[in-house]
Amino acid sequence: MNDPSSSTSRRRTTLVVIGVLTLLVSGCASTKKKEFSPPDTTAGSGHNSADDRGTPAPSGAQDVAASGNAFEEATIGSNDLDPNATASDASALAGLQTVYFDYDSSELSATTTATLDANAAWLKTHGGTRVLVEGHCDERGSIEYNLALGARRASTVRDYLARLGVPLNQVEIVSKGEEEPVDRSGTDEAWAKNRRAEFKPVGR
Amino acid sequence: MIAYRLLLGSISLLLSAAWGLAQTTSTDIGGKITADASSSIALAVPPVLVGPGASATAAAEIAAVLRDDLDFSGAFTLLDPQGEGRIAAAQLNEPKAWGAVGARAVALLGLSLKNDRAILAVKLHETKGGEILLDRQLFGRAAEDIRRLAHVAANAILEQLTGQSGVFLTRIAFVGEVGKGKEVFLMDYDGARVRRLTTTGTINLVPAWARDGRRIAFVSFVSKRPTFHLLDENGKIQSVKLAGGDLNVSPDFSPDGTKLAFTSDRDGNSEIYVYDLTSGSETRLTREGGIDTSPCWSPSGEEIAFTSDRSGSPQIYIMRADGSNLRRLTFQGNYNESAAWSPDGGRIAFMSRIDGIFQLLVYDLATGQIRQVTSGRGHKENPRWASNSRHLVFSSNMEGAYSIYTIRDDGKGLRRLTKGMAAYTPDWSPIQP
Repeated sequence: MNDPSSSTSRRRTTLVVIGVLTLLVSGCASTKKKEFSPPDTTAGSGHNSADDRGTPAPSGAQDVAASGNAFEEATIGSNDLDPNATASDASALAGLQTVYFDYDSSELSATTTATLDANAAWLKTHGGTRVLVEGHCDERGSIEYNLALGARRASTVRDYLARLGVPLNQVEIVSKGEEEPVDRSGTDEAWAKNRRAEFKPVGR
Repeated sequence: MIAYRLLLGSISLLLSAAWGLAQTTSTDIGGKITADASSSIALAVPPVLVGPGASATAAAEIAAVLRDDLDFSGAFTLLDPQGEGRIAAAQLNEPKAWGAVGARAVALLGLSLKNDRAILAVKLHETKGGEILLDRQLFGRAAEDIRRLAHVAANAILEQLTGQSGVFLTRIAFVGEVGKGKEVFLMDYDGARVRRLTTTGTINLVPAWARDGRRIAFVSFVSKRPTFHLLDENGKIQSVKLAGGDLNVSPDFSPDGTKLAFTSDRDGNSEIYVYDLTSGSETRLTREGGIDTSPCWSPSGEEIAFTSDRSGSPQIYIMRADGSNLRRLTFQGNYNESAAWSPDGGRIAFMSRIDGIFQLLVYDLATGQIRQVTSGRGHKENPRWASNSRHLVFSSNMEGAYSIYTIRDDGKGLRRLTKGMAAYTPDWSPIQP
């Protein structure tokens, strides 16, 4: 049975191929096998082809075919949202200066408040112009945390403007997190430029 | 159906007979070969036998994928498939020959093809007595399922030899840069078969799997403000009607799939809320002036870990799922965030700034001990667990552009999964596809 001589093994290997051919053609064996589900051929709905769900039997037959949905198969296409409804790419409003923040901070420095004072004055004389304050971060820290930090920077700016008498309904806010850096070079200077609040016209 | 069964029986029978190891095709499962956590099992995977209709290329691909899977697990020392230079080619299917060169088990596989159906016969032998530990016949589509056949075989072998559930059929969702936008992508756990799920033309972030593997929540700028949406397995994006806020981000499914924890600024600053997917109701959990974000359910659904900077710097906190019993988890370092609760419930992975670089750490909830998983250059961000609670996926710029990597929780087995596209915020699917 376990004769290690290579001639025996070679003979066995030959038998494999002959055996495969014979049995594939004849399909004559009748061994007991576990039941398995047939592959689901219903387009786009297949959850019931038996793959590796549940506890796999250590012995038996199994169809591994993928279920055919978008998570399993290739690229899928459309969705029901408007792809043109993206956030504004408009350039900053002339007359309103961008302000900057320290690392992991949304506090307003003396320089920042001076700039915001000027911005507030401009907004009060342009009451018909609604603005979007975008809060931005440098790329350090997680994308998730920076979404929250960008929101806090934007709302800090809005709250300050409101205290100076700018009507709340004139100012909207959005966090851009770390998604729209102005400088990707990864230096201290670049990071300082990226930690900012920009003023954009409210789109459409 | 009957034809399939006959066919499979035939394959099984012939392989058993040909390998001269089993008398019948009946199940003959021996005890598991056990290995303690510190030692690996010496395993041989000789070249996959090329049966009728099968191509040598497909057989070689199966062998490569299978070996790659088993290597990934960290549970095995894989022997040279050609027999360590000490087994004659004709004896590569002999368990005893493998035993003589140190293998404790050998996986013998044969691939054949019939009517565009690939059939993979898998026999796992213990090498001392040649006892059959596993005897499976797997079949799938000839072209599309080759890798899948190998993954299913690898899962079965790993489970049989170690009792561990393999993650070889799991997938990783992430976002990749496309033009000026970021779209949601999926790939197999090993980085193969990258496929795109969204075509919004804008920025999408932080995909998060539901435990049933059939939905992904993600954040999109498609409606101007960063807001989470749902993506179902047919590729449909669903909007979620929320009560307000300019920021509704960081979605995380409850383990039972009925709720989403998320972050919103609707009440003035970032707080944690829970959205009930059945009723549409929303519940506020945190009330604090600082940033509260990145909620993450415990696998029991009873608690939520999250990031807060209420102490002055970002730290990890835990509260009960109703917001009560809040406690701070991390005290070392001044920037800890992005908590991920291990599926076995015992540990929380997070990122921590150490010497100016973000590294991955794991907090053991039973002992309170913290272990550093990564070191060296480049930020490591957004850790998420595999369902086996042994591997982590994360994004890093350690080699330049941000890419997706996996690593074992002991810091070994680092693998880069993505190339050619900046990639961020991965999340590992549950074990069920």
